[in-house]
Amino acid sequence: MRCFRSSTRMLLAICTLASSCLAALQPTDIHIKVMERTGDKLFSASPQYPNTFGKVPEITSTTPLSVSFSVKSTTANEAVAVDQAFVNFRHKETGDETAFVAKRAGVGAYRMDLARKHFRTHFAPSPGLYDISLVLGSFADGGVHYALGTVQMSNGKPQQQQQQQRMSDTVVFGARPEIHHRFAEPQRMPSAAVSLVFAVLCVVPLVVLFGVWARLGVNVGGLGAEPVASAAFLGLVGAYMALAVAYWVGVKLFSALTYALVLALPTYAVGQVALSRRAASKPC
Amino acid sequence: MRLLPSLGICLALGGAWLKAVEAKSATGDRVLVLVPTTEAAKQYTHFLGTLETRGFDVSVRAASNSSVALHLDGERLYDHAVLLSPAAKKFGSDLTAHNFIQFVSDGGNLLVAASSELSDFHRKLGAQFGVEFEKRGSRAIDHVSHLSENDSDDHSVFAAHRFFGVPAVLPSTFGGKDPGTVLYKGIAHKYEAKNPLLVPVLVGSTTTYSGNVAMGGDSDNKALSPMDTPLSGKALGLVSVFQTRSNARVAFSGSTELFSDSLMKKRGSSNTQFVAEVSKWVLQEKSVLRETGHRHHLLSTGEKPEYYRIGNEMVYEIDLSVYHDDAWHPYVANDVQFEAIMLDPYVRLTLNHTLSTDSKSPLATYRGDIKLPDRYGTFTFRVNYKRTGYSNVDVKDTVAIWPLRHDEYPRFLTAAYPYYTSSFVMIIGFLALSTAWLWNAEPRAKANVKDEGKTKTKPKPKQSATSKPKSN
Repeated sequence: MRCFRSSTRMLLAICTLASSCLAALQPTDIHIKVMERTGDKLFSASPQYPNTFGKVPEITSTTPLSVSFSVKSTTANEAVAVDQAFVNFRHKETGDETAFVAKRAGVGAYRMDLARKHFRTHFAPSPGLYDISLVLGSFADGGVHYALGTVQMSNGKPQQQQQQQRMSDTVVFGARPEIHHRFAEPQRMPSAAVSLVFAVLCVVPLVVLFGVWARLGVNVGGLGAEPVASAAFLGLVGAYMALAVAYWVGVKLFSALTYALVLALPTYAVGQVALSRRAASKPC
Repeated sequence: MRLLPSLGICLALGGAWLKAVEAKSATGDRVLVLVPTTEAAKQYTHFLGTLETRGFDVSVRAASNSSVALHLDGERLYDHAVLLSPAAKKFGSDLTAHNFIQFVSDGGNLLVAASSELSDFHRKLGAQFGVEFEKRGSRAIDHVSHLSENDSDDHSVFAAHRFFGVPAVLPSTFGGKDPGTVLYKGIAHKYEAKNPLLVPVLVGSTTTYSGNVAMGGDSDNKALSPMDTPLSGKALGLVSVFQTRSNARVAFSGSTELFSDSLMKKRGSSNTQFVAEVSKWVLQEKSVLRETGHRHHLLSTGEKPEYYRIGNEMVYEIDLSVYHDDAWHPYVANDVQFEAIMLDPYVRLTLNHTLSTDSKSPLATYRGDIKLPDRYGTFTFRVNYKRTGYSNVDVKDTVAIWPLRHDEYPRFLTAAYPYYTSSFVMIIGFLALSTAWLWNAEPRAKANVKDEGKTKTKPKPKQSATSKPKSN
């Protein structure tokens, strides 16, 4: 692996060395201007190769950018025409690159004017900081890549809106945001104290009833005539009430009906005995 | 008697031979390589040799060979196809771009190498996958990183070192601080950056552009007009790969020289390693995912019910494996997600990788504890795992989520105590009233008073109209 990396580095160095030896090109007379529509100069810089311009000018659709430069051959020390004269813009965040071919404005002189239509097409959809550089190349003299500096491309929209627009355009394979289902809020219930008070109020009439009965002398003296059958009959009627409660609690319908059917016969038989003997025991 | 030992030796040798050519690809080992002429195949001896070393059954054919076919009776004859004949207008007797697209649709993998002399066949084939080759005759040129061997060099052989970070295709040695260097000579292409199925693997540097070769002092490349935006830099594709939704793989290279012995053998060139990695990916020797099993059940009982109820807590598990280095291995990731969908996803949850007790197990299990939403209907449990460079895994289960039964709602609420109480009061009242009504007895003292009252005041017998009063 080390041999592989070192030989790769060597090859890269050879390529770079070859190009730099052959790269007898040097950009000169570099002028970068940002102008108002009225012609007023907002920003102007003239960096010397290989330095960059320090400030970060803001460029909008109404403030066009202009870059002019000349290319000189260091061997012949004169201006030369080149095969590749690009002004390259590279978005700092996304890494996307856009290059414009510079127009020849004379022998070895080139100029690029970023008009409104170019701005709207290439920079308005993805504003932000861009690294601007010159890419020059010639079959005879090699090539050179000169980083000029950084510019801010603005389209007037807030950053959040720009990000949302950018995100909606692309499909990215990856984990998606988690979705946690929001369950319905449980119904708001009155407090337990209120319920208990009303529950007690529901019992009160029964208590009153028993009290009044006691005063009136209501009794179950008639049970003495046939206590077993009577108690059994009452028990079985109570069992039907319990079956209704059981159905409410959890017993299924058909099971409850089956139990009811099972209870029916003894209830009838016992009831027949108890009630007939009660009737017989009553005075005329 | 001598026949048996000889037979045994033959069987042993045959077994060893079979093992040597055992498929190392997850999808088969039959490779068809189409070259301009059989003589031209000698330029790619190293590349073809590595394919055979890796266990593929390589069939080299001339592009014009009329017997070349991709299908027979509807079945693919090959598992992979490598096109190293960029100028060929057609292959075989009548194979068109459509036939190769059908080949890919049927699960075949394709490696297409082009050049400046590419034909319309390759252009049309590339267009189907979002790859737009530059005009015939143009080349990728780099005046800064070119490999200069003589003064008349056209700067079209250059060192490309801008790799896209796709770990599934290229290992990390091709990125980072010390990227490899791939020697390239060929045509550039545009790629659809927004297409998630198409991924550029090797792109141009800032100084790389696509243009016509200008020789003999013809400066000011007349093909480019002022304010043109030439294909250059990151937007300039050199090698791009495409994975279909059915997991077939296609790679497009603008250079056949990339695979040639001349560039591979140059000192410091990473072509051999680069081509090996890309071809391994295309021929499905690595980054192949598969799902070996999935299951879901209730958390409480551990059983899979016929249907679920709203709000049920359940467990979902899925097993994933990845193929590389000739074997299946557990696929470990932190972004496997589960979705419960009814038109839209109601739940999306990242599953947790659970450690297997068996260290030699080739699968990794992912588990999630999910509470089902409080909506009933027909849901789809889905794991839709799509990651750049890896095979797609899409697992779906249709389940029914039923509403609660009448006795499964929250019961015995404090707010209902008055109702419960009044019901029991009614039952007790009914029983008490029935008892009192049926078995009430008059009090004895009152009864005696009544009896005495009856005896003291005996009623006078009635006189009849015919009876005469007694006379003295």
